[in-house]
Amino acid sequence: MIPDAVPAVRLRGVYQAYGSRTVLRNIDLDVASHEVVALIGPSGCGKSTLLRTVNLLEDVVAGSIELNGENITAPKTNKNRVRQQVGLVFQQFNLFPHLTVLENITLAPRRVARKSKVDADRRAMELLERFGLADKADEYPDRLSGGQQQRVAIIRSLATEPTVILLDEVTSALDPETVGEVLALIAELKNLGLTLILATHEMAFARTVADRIVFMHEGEIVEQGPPSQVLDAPTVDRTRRFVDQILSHDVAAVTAQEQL
Amino acid sequence: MTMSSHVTASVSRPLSDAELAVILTRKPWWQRRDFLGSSAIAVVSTIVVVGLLGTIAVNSEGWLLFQRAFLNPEHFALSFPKIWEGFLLNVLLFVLIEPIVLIVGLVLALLRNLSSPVFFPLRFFAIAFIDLFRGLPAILVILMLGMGIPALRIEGLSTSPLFWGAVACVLTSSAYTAENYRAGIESIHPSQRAAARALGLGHGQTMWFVILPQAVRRVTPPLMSGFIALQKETALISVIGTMEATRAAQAYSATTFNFTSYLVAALLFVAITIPLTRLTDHLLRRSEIRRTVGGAV
Ligand SMILES: Nc1ncnc2c1ncn2[C@@H]1O[C@H](COP(=O)(O)OP(=O)(O)OP(=O)(O)O)[C@@H](O)[C@H]1O
Ligand SMILES: [Mg+2]
Repeated sequence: MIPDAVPAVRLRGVYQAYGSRTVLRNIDLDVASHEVVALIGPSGCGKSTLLRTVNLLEDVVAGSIELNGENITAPKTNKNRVRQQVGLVFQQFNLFPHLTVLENITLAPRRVARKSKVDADRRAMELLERFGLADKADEYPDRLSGGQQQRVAIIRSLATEPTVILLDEVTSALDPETVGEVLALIAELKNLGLTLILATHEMAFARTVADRIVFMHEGEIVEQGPPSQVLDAPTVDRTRRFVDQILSHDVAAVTAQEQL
Repeated sequence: MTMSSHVTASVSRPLSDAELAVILTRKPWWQRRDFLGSSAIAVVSTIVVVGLLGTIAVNSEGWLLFQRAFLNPEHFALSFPKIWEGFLLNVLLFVLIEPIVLIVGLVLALLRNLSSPVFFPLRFFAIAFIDLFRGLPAILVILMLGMGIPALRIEGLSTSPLFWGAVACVLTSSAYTAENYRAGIESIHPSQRAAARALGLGHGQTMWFVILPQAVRRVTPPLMSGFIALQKETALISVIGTMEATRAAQAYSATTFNFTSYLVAALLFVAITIPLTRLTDHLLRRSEIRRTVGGAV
């Protein structure tokens, strides 16, 4: 990575609040192109809010966000154009139940990017084939497993050809058996050269796929660095407590599974 | 018990495909055992109850009088042509009004849903409209418009009471229909909107491609109830003198002092509304089954 290259995403002094409750405090974060950043932290620390804010689903209270050098928090920003470049995938998939898999994927390319149906369908089928879901193109979402639904949701966000994809605990609502297939897909996104920011509780996955781990607590970034540093040798006390707790939890879960 | 039968089943050889097919094929409803049993009971109890009530009615003092006034075959035949003619007007009104109501109701619901302050006047108009016409008895609106506007003789406006009666029906039914749509729109989880917005769809596109299709499917049964109510509401137009079925029946009974003509009108209405009601029930059941099974189409 060239050190002085423009970051894919840059947050400067971002504040966010729901009503009078401040949820993000003075967030500074640079994410380089092709970088994979994992957000970790206790429930309610603001991971989802941070991702929603980068996707412009919430307006910042103060501070600025840049996307490839362009200030997207400026008042006259075309939000819908920005959202084409920044995909957001939700914990609960949020597929549209009245549309088939193919229609879910082609909705934005057709209605927002104004692609023809033929072009949008062809592109969607390419994506579905690459990720092994081509035979599900004409199914409705409720006929798919959770893992398949989440993979379709990720493909749907890919279809607008974004450069950045935000993934919000995309495996938390899944059965343990299907988590793997979704994680494999995310690893492929990394290989495709996409910039990824993912909120996750999957420490083992974060360790293998993330270039950097960002630990958040009560709306602030407390510590960040490569996985080996943040997960194995945290310097801040709060991080250490969180990591210890999560790791012992993971160990407990693994032990429980082995005993079954 | 369950345990042991389970064990026997697993010890015996596995079922062949043909045997499995026999078990899994549902017999038509009239051949099912539970249907045969319950329908037998239903038939017997119906005969007993109807027989009892019939005997009481026929033996009552007023029976002959009642029969002559309400169940007179001669008057039935004589009044039928005029009432049928009137009823065709009811059907015509209904068929013309219903599509307009569905569209006006939808527009009202969408206006009501606008959140941007820029649109406040439109939103306010929609709310005022819905509140007003839901709060007024339909018959009052029909009287006021049907009698009032033609009496004003305003240049360029229709002076037909029938036209204004129909407009009154549109106004009241649209207000109810708008509320049905709104209930549907509000029942769609906010995460659907968030997902659509995150993909770059605008407000209008999100509503049109994501929210509305799901909302309309969900409120089809109440919309159908609205159909039925509207069908009956067309009878109210009789108050402004329109010769629809109810009015024709009234006219006939006024000259003959016999009420059989009302029975004719009642039968004609019921011939349309009962099948519609059954259809609504059917749709309702189907949408409930769909919801418990999983949600979509
Ligand atoms: N729509 C909302 N309205 C009001 N408060 C909200 C809203 N969404 C989130 N919050 C609050 O903001 C804080 C941060 O929430 P957020 O969902 O970003 O946390 P999170 O880190 O994603 O947690 P989790 O790990 O449980 O998903 C929480 O205290 C939450 O209660
Ligand atoms: Mg969250």
